[in-house]
Amino acid sequence: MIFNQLWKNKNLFISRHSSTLSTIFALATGYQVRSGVAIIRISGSLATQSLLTLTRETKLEKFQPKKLYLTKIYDNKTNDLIDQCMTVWFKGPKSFTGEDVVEFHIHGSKAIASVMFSILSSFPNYRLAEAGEFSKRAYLNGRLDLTEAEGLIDLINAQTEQQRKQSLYQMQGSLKDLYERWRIDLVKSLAHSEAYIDFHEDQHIENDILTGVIQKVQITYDNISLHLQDHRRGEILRDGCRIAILGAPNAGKSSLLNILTQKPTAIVSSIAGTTRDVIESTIDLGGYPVIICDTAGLRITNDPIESEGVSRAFDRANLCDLLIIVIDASTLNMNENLNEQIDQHLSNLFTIKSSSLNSLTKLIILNKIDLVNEKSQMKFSDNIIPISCISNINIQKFLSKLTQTIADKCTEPSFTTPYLTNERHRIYLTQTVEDLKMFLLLINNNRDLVLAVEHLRLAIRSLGTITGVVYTEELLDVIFRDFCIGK
Amino acid sequence: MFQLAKYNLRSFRLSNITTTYVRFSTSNYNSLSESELKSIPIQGVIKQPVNSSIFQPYDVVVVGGGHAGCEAAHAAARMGVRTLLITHKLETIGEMSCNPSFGGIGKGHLMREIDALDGLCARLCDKTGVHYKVLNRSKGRAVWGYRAQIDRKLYKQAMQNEILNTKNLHVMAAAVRDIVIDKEQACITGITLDNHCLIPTQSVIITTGTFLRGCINLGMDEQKPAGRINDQPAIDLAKSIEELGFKMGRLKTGTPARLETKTIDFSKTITHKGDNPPLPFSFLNKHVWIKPDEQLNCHLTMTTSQLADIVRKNAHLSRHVTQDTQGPRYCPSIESKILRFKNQTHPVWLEPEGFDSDLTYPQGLSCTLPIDIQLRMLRTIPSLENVNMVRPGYGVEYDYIDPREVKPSLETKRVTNLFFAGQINGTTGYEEAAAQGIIAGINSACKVLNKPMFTISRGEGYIGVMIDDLTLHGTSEPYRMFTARSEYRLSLRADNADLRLTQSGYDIGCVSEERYNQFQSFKKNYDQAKECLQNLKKPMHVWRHLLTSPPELNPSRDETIKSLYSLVHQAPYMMDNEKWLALVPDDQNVRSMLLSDNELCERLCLDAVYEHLTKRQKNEIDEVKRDESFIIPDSFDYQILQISNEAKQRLEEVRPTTLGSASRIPGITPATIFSLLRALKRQSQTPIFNV
Repeated sequence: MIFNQLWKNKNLFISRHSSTLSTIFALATGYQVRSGVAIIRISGSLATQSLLTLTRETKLEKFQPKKLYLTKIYDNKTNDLIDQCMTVWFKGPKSFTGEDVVEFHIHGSKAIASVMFSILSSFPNYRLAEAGEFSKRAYLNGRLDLTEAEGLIDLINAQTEQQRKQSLYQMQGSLKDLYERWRIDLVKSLAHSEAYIDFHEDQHIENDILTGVIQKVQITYDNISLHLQDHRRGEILRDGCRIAILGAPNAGKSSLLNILTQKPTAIVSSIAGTTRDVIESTIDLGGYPVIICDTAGLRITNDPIESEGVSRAFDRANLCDLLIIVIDASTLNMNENLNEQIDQHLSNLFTIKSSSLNSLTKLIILNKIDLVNEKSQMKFSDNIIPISCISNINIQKFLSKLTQTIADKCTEPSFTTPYLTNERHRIYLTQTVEDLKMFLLLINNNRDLVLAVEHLRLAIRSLGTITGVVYTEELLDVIFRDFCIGK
Repeated sequence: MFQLAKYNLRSFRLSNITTTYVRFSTSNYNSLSESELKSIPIQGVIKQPVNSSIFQPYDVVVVGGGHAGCEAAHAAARMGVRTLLITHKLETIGEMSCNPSFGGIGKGHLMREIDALDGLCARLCDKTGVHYKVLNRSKGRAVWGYRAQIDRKLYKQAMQNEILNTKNLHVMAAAVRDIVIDKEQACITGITLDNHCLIPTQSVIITTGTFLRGCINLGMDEQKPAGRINDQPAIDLAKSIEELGFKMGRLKTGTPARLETKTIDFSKTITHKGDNPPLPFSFLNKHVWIKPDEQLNCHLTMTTSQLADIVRKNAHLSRHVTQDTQGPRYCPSIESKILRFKNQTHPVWLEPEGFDSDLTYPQGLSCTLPIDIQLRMLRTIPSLENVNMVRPGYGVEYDYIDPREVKPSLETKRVTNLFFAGQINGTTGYEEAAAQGIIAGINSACKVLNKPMFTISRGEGYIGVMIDDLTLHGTSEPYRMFTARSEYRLSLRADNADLRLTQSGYDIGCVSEERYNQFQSFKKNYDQAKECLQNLKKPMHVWRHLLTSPPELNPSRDETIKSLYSLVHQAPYMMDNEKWLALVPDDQNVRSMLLSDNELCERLCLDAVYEHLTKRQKNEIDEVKRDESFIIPDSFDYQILQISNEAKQRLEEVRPTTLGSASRIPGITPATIFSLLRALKRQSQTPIFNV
């Protein structure tokens, strides 16, 4: 009788707390995303926030619980389209975890998943779920019974094992050394800041100790930022370089694709607008995995299907690592300033969707060069290659240039700097960098020192999820080693 | 599984007797009505009994009258149970046996939390301090360290006055010989005094500090058993505790020489004045007892290379150093500072011992060298060239109990209703001791009253951080509190200790009505004012126009809607309190409330400063609390779990009391925790939660 009473109270106790827990997200379909569909699951009191924000809806009534909706989802910062996907949400407590749960059934692309992850982790109170956390919440909220829970331990074990394998200590070589160095530097900086806070006044820690800390953190900050700006080299190496072929209709994009894939992958005709949807093909180029997409010719059109094709072309281009722009050489006047004409041509193409593809590397192909007579006078800058798909002119040169460009994307000049290969690492490193930035900002503006140091603590915690947790004892070891503290 | 091995014959016999006695006395209790029991007032000193047969049983017996003992006894008495405090000498109750100060960074936080639970030390320091100074003023409010030099004599008097005039609390001068245990139940039934008298009790709190096999070191030759100079150590008790199988270790600490104040040339030092105005420790007080300019000064001087030479030449004469093979990481004495660090000079604070004391305490000079060398050493320090050493410094070695032997409630895992608190658990410092005392006091009473255990989680207070660290990881050096130990430092501030703890303290019964009423009226105003400021929202450019001085006439449009609350800490808008306060509506008297109550205003601004990060921490704290609500029963068998042997071993070693603490043991994986959770739920025909 009393026990029943207590048991009831206990559930009250838990539900009271679960309402304030952070909202967690993870790929529900496993980390190796090379599938038709990938599901991102979000659970927590703020879960529906992501549904509204990403779909640009204001009212939740638009989505009935437990019903699948086909929607477009957008990046809330850049307003770019991310994907068209199925969404569904479950209202807590009638959900897997007992909390509000949202699922995005996105296309099984690493690129889309990683965009989604970086957007979701920027939401307030959102964080990446730990191994088995969904199941744990489900269990705590009474949504799983014991028999169901049996299998879960194995699952969590597997997930933990997977993360452990991905984690630093399983990693070999330079990446491990690099992260480990950052970790040691930050631990030292934090220990010195903590010593300054706790012992400066009665044990006389020197005043300039903070100056050293700031310098050290600045260096680490610069290094991690640089590491993050690697244009996804490591991941490209692992998942493949994504290339989109863009250009005006009938410029010869599909012909180029067929040359690259060495088979008639796309239908080729002289009719403008033959290709409408994105055609994707995976090839091996000089040892590098490449995913190449042919797209609809870019033009303003009244045909709704073709228009959709143009939109898709741009959307896909945004997700790529490299663009091949195909221009019909016969449309250019070879006697005039060619570079200017090409620039003009590009800007005409891109204004169709007022898209900014400036940040992407571009390789410009002047196709149908066999139709041009004044070959002798032509001078091109390095990233412009005149070819002819039909007459097989310059194809070898194009291929070797393309291979070179991809190789550049995949490797750094110095082979000692390792690449970032793991999306999870990227998220935590990004958080690390953001907190280091806040630390430097606050401390350089002489704001509340504890507040600044709190960001240093958060930074170390994010880094620690990759490199292993930093326990207080480790900090104390540094403090007592570097400073004379006693009675 | 614990052992209750090797009882000596006497205590075995006694324990049998006691069991029957206690049974008898409990039935007596039951036959007495509530009012009859209350009508037997207990308060003040009670004489040591000559024979046990006439003795009244107590609910709680506290052994030791130091900082932990006093807080424990007072807390238990506040909870309304019959409490007895036993100490060697009445006149040493509340003695500050080392430094003449209270508080500091981290330690000050502990004191505010003790005060929030209606404890003694903060309140007493407000009426006995001679020099109040908040440390870390330049580093942010979350790490402000309330600290004061205290008049030893006044403090002791104030403490004795408090202890002797507390309802439900008896005080007895006696030496405790042994604890008496019901062997079957592994449960406390009483204690025996050194004249073999038995005092039956339901629970016992041991707070004997350094007195367990305490041993004083002074040079190499002089080593004598004592807990404090001139006081007897407790050897028998140590033996009994050891016989029960408790894992024990040995720690050392030290205290510096005492100097004659009039032989110090203060002109060669840097003078540090107390704060003006001095800030009180207690939430109950708006002011301290003395005027700002009546405060005594502290003085700073530095050791020289000459002192380093003397120490180096004589290091072989210091017992602490010669024994120091694997010493603690911190420096327990000036010898270790000199030998371990390259820098030749170390700060020495010359601290006053009180208004009518002619002694000065040189903080930073703890020392175990022989007397003649100590004096030579002292006289190399600028300002101490002609100093007269009234008492030499000395080192103390003492037994402590591996704190992993106690639960977060501070009850031992081996013996039911036996509590350990204070230095005996491996801590150092008055504040750390007092903080444990109050928790042990509350919980011993809770046991008697059949209430759930009162524990503070890591997210709720520094007290929780300390006890969690100790009970999970143990300690190999005297454990001292500092803010680096808390992962929720921004949330656990000295200014909000009452908001964190007073309500739960009142709910369990250790907070008086008077304090609770004051707290409630503050909280009501606070909530109202905060809500009002949070609801006052305008676009940013309007705020800029209203708040900047001189007013920004045409601020560029910025339509971001912000609340006044989110701006109250932001320079340059909030430099001028008058200005923004004028914008606060006064329909519910919020403005006049804020204008008249400076403290309220300050605390609101402070909350706003840390708000965006404390909000983030709150989620984590709640997650910790949720996991803490899953209690692992004492008898839980880890062998039934399908987890690695290594994990089993670790869990078996620590025997964590909650799922939360289990998850903080290094090397324990989420899968292990999940297995544990599953097993707990399966067994949960019994309730597994904590309030």
